[in-house]
Amino acid sequence: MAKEDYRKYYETLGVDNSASAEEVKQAYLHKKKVFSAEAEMPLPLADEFTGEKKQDILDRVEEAFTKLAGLLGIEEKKQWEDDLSYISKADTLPEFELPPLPEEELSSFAGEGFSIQSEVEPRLPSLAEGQVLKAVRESLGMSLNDLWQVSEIPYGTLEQLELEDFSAFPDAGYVRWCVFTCAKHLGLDPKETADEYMKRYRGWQNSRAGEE
Amino acid sequence: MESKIWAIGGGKGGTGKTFVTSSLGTFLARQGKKVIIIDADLGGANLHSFVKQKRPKYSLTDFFTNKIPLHQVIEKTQISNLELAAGDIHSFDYKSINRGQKLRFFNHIRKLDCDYILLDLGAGSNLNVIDTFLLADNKVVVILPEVTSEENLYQFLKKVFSRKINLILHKHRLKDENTELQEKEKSGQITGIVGKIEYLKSMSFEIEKKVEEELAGFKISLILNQVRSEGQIKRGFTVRNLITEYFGIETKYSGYIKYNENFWRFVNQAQPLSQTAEFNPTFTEVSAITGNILENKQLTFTNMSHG
Repeated sequence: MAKEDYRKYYETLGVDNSASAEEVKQAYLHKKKVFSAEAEMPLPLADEFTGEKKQDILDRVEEAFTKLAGLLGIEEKKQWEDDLSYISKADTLPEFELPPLPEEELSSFAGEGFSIQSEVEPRLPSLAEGQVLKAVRESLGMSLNDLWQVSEIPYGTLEQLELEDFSAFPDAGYVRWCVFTCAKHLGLDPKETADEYMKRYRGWQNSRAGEE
Repeated sequence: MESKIWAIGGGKGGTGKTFVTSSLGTFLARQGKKVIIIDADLGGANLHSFVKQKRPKYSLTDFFTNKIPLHQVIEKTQISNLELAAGDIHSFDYKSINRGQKLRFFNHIRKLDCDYILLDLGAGSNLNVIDTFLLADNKVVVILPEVTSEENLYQFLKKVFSRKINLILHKHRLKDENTELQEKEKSGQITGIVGKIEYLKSMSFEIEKKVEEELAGFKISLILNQVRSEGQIKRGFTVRNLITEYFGIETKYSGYIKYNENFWRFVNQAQPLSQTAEFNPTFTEVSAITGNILENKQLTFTNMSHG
């Protein structure tokens, strides 16, 4: 009887009946995040996942976790909820002031064989704009995938943006829009970032015009 | 319950359904099971190329247009225990097959003598594709970690479930109930797939029993292909949770396949996947996925590695 009862809770958290306490914790935190009030739903599913429905799911998740925590002897939430590193900032955008750029990291990063085109005066010495975006993103613990999820700019485009693979872009307007949007999500000043980035783009355009 | 018929679909084209079908088939065959893979992607058939079958003697076109029985279309491949029913290499259009042809196809599939039948579905959500997907006991979906691929999957599944509900209503002659359901839906009293199913069940004890029987064992196995980061691997858990909650159906995250830059070589070479060293990592991943599907297990947060 009791077993039947718990099966429902395992199901709610999407884990198997044999799941460890650690697994239950992680699945709980993950699902809570997926259906949190502020989480954006994929468009085809947005009709159904209203605020009310989300709350309903969250309630069930909470109940399931409480029951399983009792069963598995999981300690008080506060003790572990904050220090679990797996559901890292990588999964969502943190809502805090952007820390200053980690300059040491940036310069060591730049040391790894990046060459800067001489005709462009970069804002940060020896670091291309694409790499700045990448470094900022990484300093926030975001993966490209995460940035794609929040910015809705295609994954491949984000990659090309960071690599400054301009040939892949149809026109300057699109590049600018992409950078602007990314900057917003990275906590950078969108206009300033886009202006700097577009210098690199124009440099590339000019060099290409020269070749032809 | 052992699932004999597996369908590999997912809505979007180019997600690796054919590759997944051929490699799942290969792994099952290596375990000594007799496996038949069927290229149900009639408009864009190339399953034969993935199992390195150069010139299939017959194809499903012969089945549909020349009335050759399905078991005659099936032929052996280079891999022992693995047999293939090739799709049309010319231009036969799956969309154009009629209801009678479809039912004959399904009947022949059910009668095949083997341990597993794997159906490689085409892209899109044409009714024939949906019905073939519904024919399977084990419904495998393959997506890429991209918004577009995810969206197409959800759209595909929505059609699958609407179709399933219609089929239930039709099969059990629930005509009045259908009318009532449509009215409630129109007036906004019920919404969503789960809402529809719950409403149906609430109509009577008998209907509830029927609906539950029909949906018992309806499960989905999710595979993420061409992943490049841990974040993308984790996205699979999110997709799994979204499907489970939206459709109220058991969904397992069976695993992922990492992006392999040598993949094009495999497609162009003459040997099957299992015989090429560059694909060892991919091989390991597919092997783990096959094991997970067979044992009804899934990827976990605490052990996200397939290796």
